[in-house]
Amino acid sequence: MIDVRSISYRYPGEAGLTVLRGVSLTLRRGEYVALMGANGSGKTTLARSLNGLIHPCEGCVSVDGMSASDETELYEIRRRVGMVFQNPDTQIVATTVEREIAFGLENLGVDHPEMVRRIDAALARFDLSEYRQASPHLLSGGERQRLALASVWVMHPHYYVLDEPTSLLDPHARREILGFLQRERQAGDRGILLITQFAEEALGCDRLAVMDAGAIVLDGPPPDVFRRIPALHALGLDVPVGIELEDYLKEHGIASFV
Amino acid sequence: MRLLCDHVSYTYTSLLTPSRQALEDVCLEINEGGILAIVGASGSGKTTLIQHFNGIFRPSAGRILADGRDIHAAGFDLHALRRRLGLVFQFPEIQLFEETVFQDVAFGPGRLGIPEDEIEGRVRSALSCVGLDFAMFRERSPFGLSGGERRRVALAGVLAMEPEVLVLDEPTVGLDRRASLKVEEIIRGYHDRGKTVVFVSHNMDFVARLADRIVVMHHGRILFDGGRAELFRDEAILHEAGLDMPQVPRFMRDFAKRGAAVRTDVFTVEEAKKELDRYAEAGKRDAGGRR
Repeated sequence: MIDVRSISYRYPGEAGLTVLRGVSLTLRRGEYVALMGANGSGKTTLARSLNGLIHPCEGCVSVDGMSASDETELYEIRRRVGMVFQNPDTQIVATTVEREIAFGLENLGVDHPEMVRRIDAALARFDLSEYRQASPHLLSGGERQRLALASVWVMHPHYYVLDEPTSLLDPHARREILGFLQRERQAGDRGILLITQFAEEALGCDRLAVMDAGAIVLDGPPPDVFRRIPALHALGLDVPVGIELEDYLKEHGIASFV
Repeated sequence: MRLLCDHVSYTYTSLLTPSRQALEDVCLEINEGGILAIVGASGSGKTTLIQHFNGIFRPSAGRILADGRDIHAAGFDLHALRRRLGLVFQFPEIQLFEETVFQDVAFGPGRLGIPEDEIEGRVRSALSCVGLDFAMFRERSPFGLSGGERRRVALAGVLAMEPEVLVLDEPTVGLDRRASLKVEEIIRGYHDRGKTVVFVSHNMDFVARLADRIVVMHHGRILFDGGRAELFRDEAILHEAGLDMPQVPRFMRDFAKRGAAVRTDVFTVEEAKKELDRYAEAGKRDAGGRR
């Protein structure tokens, strides 16, 4: 389990802005949680604290019982918590697709036959086999995002933390990424935290947490959270159209068979 | 201004990669007024197409005509065309570079040779179009603004040139809801001033709310060109082009399938609520009549 206990974070420096104020959140293996919030509400800072990219000023983050502030545990924590960002170009480093997928495994010290096996599996699973020797910058945006996910998947993480991974993609590429997440969820032992601006993406999750001004203000099953329509609109968030209109039907006593 | 793409094809050539045909025999007429959306999967040619409109790209075959004149013909004034047709690239805010918001918005009009004493008025009016207070923002550094504000400043820079045709590439990509709604309002406002707006977007909900005409690109060709009601009725085309049905008409279609006689060609939540009210009223009248 990833356990975030009342963490606060301020940017360093005298005028340092406070971006997290006493945030608590849990993510269990097998759980699929969506996180929404307007720009500047602290979502990305929270995500970056989950694998020790930043350390909270107060409170603590633990991953499967290991403290994310303990430098000696960071390596294992980063293997277990795979991060995917909005723009895949910020995390792709290698010169070929195959080397990109191998990158993390090499650091992990996986033996050669196992490495080959995992890379083949990743290429197949993410439909990248034909690009094995291609340079990542020749791939489309959707293909590059699949590559970023493949490079995380190959490490056999316990958790995926994805920061708006679909916001730059076309509808087709978006569906591919979401389909992958659903399959990982069905595998049953991976935890997923999906940060998104698209309310519809949150509908398929087990839980939806909503952030505002550095705090989690709502957390529950998506259909319950989305019923708070005026509150969500006030926070600058979208509500799935289906829920808003179903609500309208109920409120006005309109049925499909009058 | 009337813009015509007359059998336009374009092939990318590079020493490093095989050449690729990005546009194939595209015919498109853009008349004055109206909001046109260009949609399609990544790589379908949308961005390449709009970059032909002001002569950034030159067709490999075919012509681009502005008011009937070939924009690549000898003697055609491309600068004059770019004054009349403003192009906003994807993530335009990364091109902000001046020290103050005022200087950044004034940059385009300055380059167009607008007289010095007119520029302040242009900047004032452009900032008001994008909902940024002139007095509050004029001296601020663009780099100290939020992502949504930076995008609006970049938009103001193009609006300050007062183009007759405003062309935007993915104007809401990467913005949160609040900032997207603001951009939507800006586009609608510009159109309401009698201007022509063309935009490229992946967000079908946004497209459905805003555009009266939609062009679907697929593998460099135009697969569909027509009204939104017509497009969103055509599930085969949406499927072929890899596009989503927008949420509002999808809800209405599902509701109609449950046996309700409602219109499915509605595109905003407000329109949908009105249509549901109308349906409920009609139901009550029927029930009253039977009694």
